[in-house]
Amino acid sequence: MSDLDLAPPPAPPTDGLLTIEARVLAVDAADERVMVSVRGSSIWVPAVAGRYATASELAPSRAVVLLDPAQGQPVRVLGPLTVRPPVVPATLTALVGLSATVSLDGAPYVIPYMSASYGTLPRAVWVALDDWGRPALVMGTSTAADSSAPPPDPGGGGGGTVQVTTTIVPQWSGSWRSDRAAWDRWNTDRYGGRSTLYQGNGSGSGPMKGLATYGDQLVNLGAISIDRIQVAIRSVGLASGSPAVTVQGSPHGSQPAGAPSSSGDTASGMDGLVDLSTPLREAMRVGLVKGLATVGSAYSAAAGAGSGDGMALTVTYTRPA
Amino acid sequence: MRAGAPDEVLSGSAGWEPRVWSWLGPRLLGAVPVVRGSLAVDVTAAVPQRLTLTAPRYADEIDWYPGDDPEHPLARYGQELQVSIVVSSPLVDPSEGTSEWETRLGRFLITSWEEAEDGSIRVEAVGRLRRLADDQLTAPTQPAPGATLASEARRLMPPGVAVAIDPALVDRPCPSGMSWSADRLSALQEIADAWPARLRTDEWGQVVLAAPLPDIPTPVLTLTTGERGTVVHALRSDTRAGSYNEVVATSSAPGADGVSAVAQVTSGPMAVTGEYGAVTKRWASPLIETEPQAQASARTILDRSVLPTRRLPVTCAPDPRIDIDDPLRVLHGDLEVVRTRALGPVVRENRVPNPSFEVSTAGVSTTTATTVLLATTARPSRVGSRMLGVEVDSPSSAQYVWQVAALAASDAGRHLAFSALVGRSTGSNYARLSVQFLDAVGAAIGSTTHGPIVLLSNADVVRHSVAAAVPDGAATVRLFLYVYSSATGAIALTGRTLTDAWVAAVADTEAAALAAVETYFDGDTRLPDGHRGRWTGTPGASVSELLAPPIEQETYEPSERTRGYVVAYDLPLTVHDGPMRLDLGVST
Repeated sequence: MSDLDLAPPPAPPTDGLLTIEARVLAVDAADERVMVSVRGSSIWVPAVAGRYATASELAPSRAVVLLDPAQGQPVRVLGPLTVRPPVVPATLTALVGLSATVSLDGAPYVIPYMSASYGTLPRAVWVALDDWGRPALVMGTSTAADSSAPPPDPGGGGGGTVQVTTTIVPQWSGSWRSDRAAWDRWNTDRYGGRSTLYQGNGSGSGPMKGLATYGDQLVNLGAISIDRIQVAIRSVGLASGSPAVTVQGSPHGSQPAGAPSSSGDTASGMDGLVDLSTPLREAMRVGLVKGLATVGSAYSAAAGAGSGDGMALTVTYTRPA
Repeated sequence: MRAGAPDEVLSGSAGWEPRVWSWLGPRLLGAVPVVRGSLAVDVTAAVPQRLTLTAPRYADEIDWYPGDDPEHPLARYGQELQVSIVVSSPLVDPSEGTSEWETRLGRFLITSWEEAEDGSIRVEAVGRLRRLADDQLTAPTQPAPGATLASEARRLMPPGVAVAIDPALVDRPCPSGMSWSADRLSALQEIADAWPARLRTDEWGQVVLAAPLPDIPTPVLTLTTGERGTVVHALRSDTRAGSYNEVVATSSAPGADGVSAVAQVTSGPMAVTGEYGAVTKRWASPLIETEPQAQASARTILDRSVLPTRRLPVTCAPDPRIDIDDPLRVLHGDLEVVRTRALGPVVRENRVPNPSFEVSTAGVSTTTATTVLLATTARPSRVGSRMLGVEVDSPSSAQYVWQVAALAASDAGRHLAFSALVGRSTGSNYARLSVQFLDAVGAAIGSTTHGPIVLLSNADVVRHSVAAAVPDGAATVRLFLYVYSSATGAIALTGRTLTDAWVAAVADTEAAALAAVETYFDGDTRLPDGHRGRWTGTPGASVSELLAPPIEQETYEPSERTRGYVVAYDLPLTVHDGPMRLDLGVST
């Protein structure tokens, strides 16, 4: 049992309220929803019909929002506190047969009109609004000018991005020894053992290529972009010396049966964090590259999975906020 | 099941060592020495994993008392422990492969530490879902236009936590106009319930959304009394609390009025119609938009409720590979005698691909002036109802038919014998059997070995044979039947030769090989002494084996078999921490 279960239930994040007042930012009558501003967030909430006025700097418009008592999130807009008048000035732009085209809040509406002499178009008229605040009928000419303006674009919920840094450790690593056509047949009892990544040909080993695999961990970050990846290349203290190790992207997400393949950009270093190139990072983001192979020609080795932070990736990425 | 050491190693005397690394963000703080410890996991908890471990006060000249140092490996300022169990075997030569198997258990966030009486440091850590529970949303948030369950699951994560989504889960759009609860863990659990999916963490520290478990567990591991040290107790406790047998899932999405579904336990002691009565749980989410979605969610929530309430506690030898949701089979209870009949060993192998010509003439090749057919001519020694008729028409050179049999590398240096029934219908009076070995690319090795030219009977088909040593490098052998018109091998006459019941066998000596082909057998053979044949491929048209009579065996096996999914376990980290305990959730 987790200590979370033992703790008393946290106070509901509603500040003890069942309803709150919130600023109205936008109205979507077709989908019967209203965008309100709750604790700094702009979110669309299903709404009860009402003549919601859109907030402006001059005339803030408010509505009553029902909260979920347990979770605190808004579940329904119950109605406007600031109610738009039932008849407002709008601009008549055309008359065709029995239909009038009027413009209100920057949007055109085709509605019936009460017959009268409207003179030269466009001109200001009175329009009656329906329950959602949409023009329903042209009532006659108006001396008051249409002062409505297109509402500002409120943006969508859940927008924006955030940049974060995380660490991804290899799930498996090892070395392919070409002479034996097999994995992990070199120094498996020292220098970090089986998981160490070798490269090059030395002390009679024949050509070798190391591989560290990361599975789907990079894809699973759900990153929009990966802005930086540093791989930790750590020496295992080979008696013959540890020249720089060169890494290259590999498509293998887990240990392949045969020799590892790799292609594309390379990066080199030893005993430090080594930056990977932009194309390689992009290939890792979309899942074309799921591993790193050691491909340098100089005989050397790097610590692998399970050996400290060997081949661990420090990933800085951008994702939806 | 997690990757790790094979059964043979775990059931023997294997080395066992915990490996714990402490990380603070991207920085590795060091390896933590472990005196004792355990990992307890229970699916019913909001954060299922709880790790406790004890570190010595001093080890490797390091003071493991965290004090006020926020960067100490055991401090609780976001330090995460990456824990593995390393199992080693002394029986495997390290130069020839793996002698160590590392099983990753997961990443755990340190929540507290305390100093014990003896000065050692006792540390508690929990699974990474705790980060979701702690990091609440400060303002309401809702799906962006075009958002799906998968994209929202990733977006709702605290920074740096990856989400692995089972490819078997079909993604679908989130409804607009809903907003998430302030608690990320509740929001993610809501996504999991609505999908439906299981919310878990994996050994790499990723949050996992996995497909629901199948109703019938297919065991990946069997635990038995005795052999693996498994001890099974009776059901230790049972509770009615939280044990629903009916779930009502309802949509709270705008415009989806009336979308609702009910899932019930309909059989067994917890059936809603039985004496248990109905215990109902209600659940509603705006993520549900259709009846089938509501039905799937109700069923998954019901399974999640029912499974952990019927538990079979098992105590067994520690196995780091066993994880939550693993389907296991447990054999327990009193031992009882089980009689089994095992197939007898293979005593002979007939390598001829089409030995009896009952189905077709497939596999038989001929020279130009020769054709083959399935003949139903009556002959006393004929096997089955058909023979191979070898039809020669106006030949101008030697005429023969052949089949190709495969050889194994291990056949080299042994002896091959080939025998067949041969007789005359019309035309030629003489025939002989020959064999020719070919290498892997089809080139002949050495010269063809010929048997004697024999006079054919008009009245019956008679068995003749030939034998030869199998040379190194032989991959296949051609089995020939030559047809002649004289004892000195003159070109065949127009007419028909009959043949049937071909046998080719390999043995250590020539005499043994010849003895093995003296009597015919194929996959249809049933001998009075209990020997029986078996086709290794298509009946009537493949290589066959002759098996010794079946062996009767008596074994003692536990009388009770229980299948289920692991719903909780307590894995010791060191060899001093006793056996492993696990609870198997038994589906009704």
